Amino acid sequence: MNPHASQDVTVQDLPYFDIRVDDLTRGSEVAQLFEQNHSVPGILVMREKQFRGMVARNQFFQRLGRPFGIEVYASRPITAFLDSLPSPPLVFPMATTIQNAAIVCLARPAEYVYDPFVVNCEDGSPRLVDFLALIMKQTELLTLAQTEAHSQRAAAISASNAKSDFLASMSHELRTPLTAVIGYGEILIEDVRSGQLDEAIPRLESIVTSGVHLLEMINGILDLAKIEARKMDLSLATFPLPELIRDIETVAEPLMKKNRNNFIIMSDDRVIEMHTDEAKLRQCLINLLGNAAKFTNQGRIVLDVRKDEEFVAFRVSDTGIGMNEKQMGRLFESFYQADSSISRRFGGTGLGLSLTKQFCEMLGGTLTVQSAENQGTVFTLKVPIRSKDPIASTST
Amino acid sequence: MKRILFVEDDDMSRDVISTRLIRSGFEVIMVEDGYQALEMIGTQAFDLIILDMSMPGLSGWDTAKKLKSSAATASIPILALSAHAMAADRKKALDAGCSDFDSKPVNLPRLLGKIDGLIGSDSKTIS
Repeated sequence: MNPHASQDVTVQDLPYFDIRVDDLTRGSEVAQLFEQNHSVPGILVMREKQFRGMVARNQFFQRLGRPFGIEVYASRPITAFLDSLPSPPLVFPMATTIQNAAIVCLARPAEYVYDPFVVNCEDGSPRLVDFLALIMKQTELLTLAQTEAHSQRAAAISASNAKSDFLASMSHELRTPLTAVIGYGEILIEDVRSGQLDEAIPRLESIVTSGVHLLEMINGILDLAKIEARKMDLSLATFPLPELIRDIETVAEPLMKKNRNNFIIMSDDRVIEMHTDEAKLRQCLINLLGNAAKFTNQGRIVLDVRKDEEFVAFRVSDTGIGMNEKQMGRLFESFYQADSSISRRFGGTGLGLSLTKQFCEMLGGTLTVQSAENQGTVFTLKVPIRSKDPIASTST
Repeated sequence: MKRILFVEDDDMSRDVISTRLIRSGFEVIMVEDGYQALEMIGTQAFDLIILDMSMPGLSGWDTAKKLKSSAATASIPILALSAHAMAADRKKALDAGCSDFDSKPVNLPRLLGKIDGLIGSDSKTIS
């Protein structure tokens, strides 16, 4: 059932009975009808296609059991019974919700509380509904609503925990470079005061490096926040893929030289044009190549670009330090680096892969990884040749 | 001069904080992780250990537990110094056996106050 349906279920969705008699029918015939149809809780009384009243089984047999009940009610038309009732039956418009109907039904005087009630249909014809059917439906809806509330609560708690964990990691990751910025800054003040400037340059460089690192981290955090708030827009355009590859080669080349890695590009020339967010695709590829370059020393890094049905598969493989299963399992988590010393040894914000995965999913693609310790890593980024605009294709 | 063993895996943090401690008049011996710390304590005497918490290999928490469980080292005060700065992080460090906790970035007067609280400011040195 649709999770939001509980408010939309109305009395017209309940099972109903449709046994009708004319208002001139004698009470004894009504009693016979009841005896022939054991499950029927009530009978509708009509006068020339107009609703005239309702005979509730229990009320009727109770009247018959009174002194002279047979004489008064059985031998005369059923209107004698209807006229003896203190009030007309409950009649609900068909749009009445189950919950409202239950509240009204349960507010009836105690002796009438179990009576059936009437639902007025679009065409004006009445339906008779058992009180128990209403209560069963209401119980079902309440149970459903409770289950829903439980799972929503669990989801909210888990989202809130994830957010707290993220904030705690973020605080830790921001404090570490700030230790250097503030500490070196204070040391430099002392140095300048005492005229001891021998180590000023490396200390200033450390401040700048830490500042740049903080900025990268803040940009990454803002990007993640934008994605989460669904405020990250795609700007789709058609562009020649070979040009993007050449661009990436230029940007990646200096990254590769740092650890003296051999960089090879293998490109499938069948894909000439792509229609996607070029900037995000570029960032994904540079993140992956940057990662490969960082964790590979004097090895080989290959970017293989290949058409794969409606997708382009970008395969970034390296001969670097690789990862074990456990490290791979948490790879795409924000601020997770396989080892807490990694960011210190290798740099990086701990946000790159998390962002790459999010970007690639926004483009309608997938990001997968294969790796083994000391045997290198392969990331495969598959992006549709033609990405769809998420605003046009999804409803949230 | 009081001798401090400073255990910190981050190069810049180690350089910054040790420089400030040395300038404040302490003798500072630096190591990069928990195992190196245990090795160092096995051979030399210290008045105080300043211990980073999240380190690769043997973490600060585990290092503190090991130091507290050995009679030879249980009495050396440990000051946890961590970039994990939530209230729960303080408790976690104290539960592991640390005597006090301070957060990074370092506020020097506050850090010196905590060191003073643990080992006093007298100039007695270890022979």
